[in-house]
Amino acid sequence: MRNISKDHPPQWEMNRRDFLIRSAKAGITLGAATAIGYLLYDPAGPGAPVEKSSVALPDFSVPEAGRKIAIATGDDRIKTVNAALKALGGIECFVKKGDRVLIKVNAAFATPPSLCATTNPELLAEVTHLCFRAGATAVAVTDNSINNPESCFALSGIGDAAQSSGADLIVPRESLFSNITVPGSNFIRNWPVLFGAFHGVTKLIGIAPVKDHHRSGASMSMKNWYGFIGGRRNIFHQDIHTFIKDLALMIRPTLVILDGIFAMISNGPTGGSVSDLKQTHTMIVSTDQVAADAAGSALLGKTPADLPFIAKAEQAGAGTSDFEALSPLRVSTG
Amino acid sequence: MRRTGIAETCIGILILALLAGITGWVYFAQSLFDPGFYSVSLREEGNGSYRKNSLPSPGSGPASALIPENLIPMGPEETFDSETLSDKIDGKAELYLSSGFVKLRARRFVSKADPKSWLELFIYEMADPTKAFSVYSSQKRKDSKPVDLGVSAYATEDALFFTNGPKYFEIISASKDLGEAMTSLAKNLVEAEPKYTEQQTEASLFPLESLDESSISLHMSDVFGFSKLDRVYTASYGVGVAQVTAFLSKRESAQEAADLAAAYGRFLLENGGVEAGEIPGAPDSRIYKVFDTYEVVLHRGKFLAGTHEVDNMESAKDVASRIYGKLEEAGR
Repeated sequence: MRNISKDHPPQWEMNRRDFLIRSAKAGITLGAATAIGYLLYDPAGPGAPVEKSSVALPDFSVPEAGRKIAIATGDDRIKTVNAALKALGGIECFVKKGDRVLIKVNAAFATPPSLCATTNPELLAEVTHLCFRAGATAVAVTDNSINNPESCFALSGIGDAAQSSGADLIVPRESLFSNITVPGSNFIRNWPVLFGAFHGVTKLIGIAPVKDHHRSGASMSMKNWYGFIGGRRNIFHQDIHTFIKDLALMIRPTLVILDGIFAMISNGPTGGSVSDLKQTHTMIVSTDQVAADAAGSALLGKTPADLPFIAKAEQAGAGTSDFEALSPLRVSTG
Repeated sequence: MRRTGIAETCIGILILALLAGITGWVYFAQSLFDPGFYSVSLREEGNGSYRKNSLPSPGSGPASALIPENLIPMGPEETFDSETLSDKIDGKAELYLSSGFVKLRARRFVSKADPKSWLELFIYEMADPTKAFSVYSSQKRKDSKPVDLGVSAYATEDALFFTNGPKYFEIISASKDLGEAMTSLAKNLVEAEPKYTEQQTEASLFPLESLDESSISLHMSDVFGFSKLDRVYTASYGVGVAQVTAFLSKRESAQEAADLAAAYGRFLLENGGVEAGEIPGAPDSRIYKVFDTYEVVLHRGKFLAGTHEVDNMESAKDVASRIYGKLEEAGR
């Protein structure tokens, strides 16, 4: 028996029952905290709510046209693009009377057309003519180029081609950019996009060359939308494949035209010599941008699996990488 | 069990409420991820066609005496640093930034006779001659022709590329008619600066017989897919009908060369390779059969060397043994 001094209050001692009760409570608390953490864990990372105030880009696809792809072979861009469009039913299936068409070119660099680092001006002029012949009331051409836009449009020949064929040239300026958030996107959240170029536009056509790209492995239809992005966009090079997927989610085009008559197979995306080019004799026209890029990858000696952005875009629902499943319409211009 | 007092209970509830509040705030805040936040200067620099190209810098371009008479400047010189390089060359900037890039100067010139004939001169300033040679050689175009400038140089039908000391030059033309003007400009640029002829000391150890000298390249990192293999020169040999890729790298010490040879050997074995002997008379060599190709890895003194992915074992051994002999000579 213990002696309890009157000068000191009795000390509480934990008995076995108390110990078990407290241990059980502590265990339940820890277990509950862990379970809550597990339930709240989001493996996809933080998601931003779509800002109700932000603008959104329309869907320019033509639902009744469905998902189609045509692959024309030959040496002449004019003949092959016409043949591919004819195989798809003609440009009239996509551009109707009264349409206002925006053509997104690749005018990233102030380089000569011979380097094929930018959209071929003759191809641009032909597509513009075709749009007008189909009844378009206006055709505009734009790109937020990497180098100075005026120099890019002038030296690439795109400016002259646009103007001589009757298209309006939209040179990016501050007032044309608005912040947008793309649902399902990892990076295009409250980010400036060349939104003003879409004002009144009812159809969107992308025309891009097939190029090697030091960072992403390839620059084709989906990467071409990079030229709609403003701000300090080079930060997205750190996760380029995910960003290209975001671009494919942002833009739902009427058509993409992938120019592989020559492909820049090395030292892309700028190239620097005709020695970086290979004649690959192919023009791809598709309503499915993922399928177009999957088909274009072979022109660079790659497979779709070599280019992670293709699988990412497909998983995000932007199209299919199995372009053969679309039963490509193959034509030759001899 | 001792009952807790009211004060203790209140404090406990307060702490738990505070923790619950912090948890709720963290949960809410993480849903507001905004990439723009990480581009601190975005708002200051404008939302749109942000470009931070340097301002024109009159007087800092190539001296007018270096410009051939038939060319005139199309505009001022542009300069780019590591922060703005991608504003000029987009995704290819990574190639330079990972190789000691310092500054790029670029300027366009147009032919007096034909306004449609123009060229652009790029001068990349790199950290040292080795890094300049690396970016020069890693972009080398097939089917190019060597140009006699007294430094490493080659030309294609519309461009001329060369390196001199810590600088790498590109002259890219919009017309195939400017070949003479390009060569003339290149010669002037080389003569205006000290010539660095010693920059390929390591590369000179490749035996000359059947060597394609124009194929010599320097790779700075991740060579042959092996992350530890860096600063490696490669060269092509034509041995009969076989093409052989040889490699050579000078390390800090003989021990490092031996360790790296062993590590690369293990890497090959882990990736489907099997040992297939050694080169006669070269005890520091190993032959590996990797699927249908042969790899020879050897070390001698501070050098790691060998042959890479050769279809024919005899050709691989032939070139590797000659490199071994050359390294032995150099070590004496």
